[in-house]
Amino acid sequence: MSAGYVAVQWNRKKMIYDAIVLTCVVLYTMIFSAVANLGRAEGHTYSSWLVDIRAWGSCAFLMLTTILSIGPLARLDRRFLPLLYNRRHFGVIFFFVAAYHGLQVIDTYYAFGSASKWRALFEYDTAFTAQTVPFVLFGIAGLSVFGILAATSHDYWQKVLGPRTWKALHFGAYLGYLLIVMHVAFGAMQSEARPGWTTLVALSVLTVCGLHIAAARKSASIDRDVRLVRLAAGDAWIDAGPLERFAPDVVVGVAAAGSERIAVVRRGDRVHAVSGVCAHQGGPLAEGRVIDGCLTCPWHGWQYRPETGEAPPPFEEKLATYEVREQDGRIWVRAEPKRECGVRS
Amino acid sequence: MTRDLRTLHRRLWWLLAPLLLAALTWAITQHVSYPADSVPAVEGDR
Repeated sequence: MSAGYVAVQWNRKKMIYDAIVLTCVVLYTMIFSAVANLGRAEGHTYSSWLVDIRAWGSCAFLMLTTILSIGPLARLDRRFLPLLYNRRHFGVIFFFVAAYHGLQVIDTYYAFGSASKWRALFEYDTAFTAQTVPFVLFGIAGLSVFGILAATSHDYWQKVLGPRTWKALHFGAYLGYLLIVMHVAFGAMQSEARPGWTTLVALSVLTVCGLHIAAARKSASIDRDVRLVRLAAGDAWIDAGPLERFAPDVVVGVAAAGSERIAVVRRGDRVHAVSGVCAHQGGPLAEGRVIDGCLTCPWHGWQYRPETGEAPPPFEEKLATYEVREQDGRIWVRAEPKRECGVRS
Repeated sequence: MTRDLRTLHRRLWWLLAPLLLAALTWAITQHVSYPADSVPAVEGDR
């Protein structure tokens, strides 16, 4: 959390995660090549260099589809949350796989002319005379977007840019995805007569779009579920529901119209309410869990004590807390926080 | 996510989803017409 930086914060779980991702990449490319060789035995004329390009390119595309599906899957079903913790590592590995695919293409198609291969890459069809869309340019643009995201994925950049700007910048992944879909749809998909690539691209687009829209609808329903009662000027309370809704150590999200969500937790016979926005990346604390007595963010595991909104030592973040009261068997949360979040003094 | 980023995220996807589907449809249309339009038939070529 905020106690200090090291270049890369690897721990045992992250190393296992990275090892699994890298093993899957190697296995996928080996299986792809083996299946392509079977096709060659049946009379299809695939060159080994083309098989390699397709293997790494399709691997990168599948990785990107998976990465973009993890967020909405975790919002729709908590069982996917463990995949979310190390998504940034997955993203950086994806970038290197995609970059390797790009280098293979450059060394295969552009390295044998009189001009520099890097210059040739941008000059291959400047008149746009090709019959199909110039898909290579979409690939270069997509890879450039993901290069920026990979380079700024470290917590250092998050600290420098601030959580909101950093998160907004990383929404650029969706622009990158659009560019990569164009690259694949007008590249490999056009030159392959069999339906494999068309199926892959269509499934990817439908999965990513469908999951994001479903998750957005679920998220919007939480924001709309507001029962605000204004008792007097400046004294508004949110009806968080009946006491039975608050099982011990279960986090419930409530929100006032136009305000941020509030995470409400029952600990023993007391109910506490703290800001539902994590101090790290603005993660959805109201969708988190209680672990070791601390409210834990589902994104990267940052923790806060529900009673005080403070991160346990040595960490120094503290969240805004809200007054809670029980009346006629219902829990009410004051809409205005007791104090703003920040760093413990 | 903060409320404004959640709203931005939702609006992005309402824009992106039709764009992606349009790109896919366009590419599939191209794919269907590409071989017949651009590759001249060679006698005896099967």
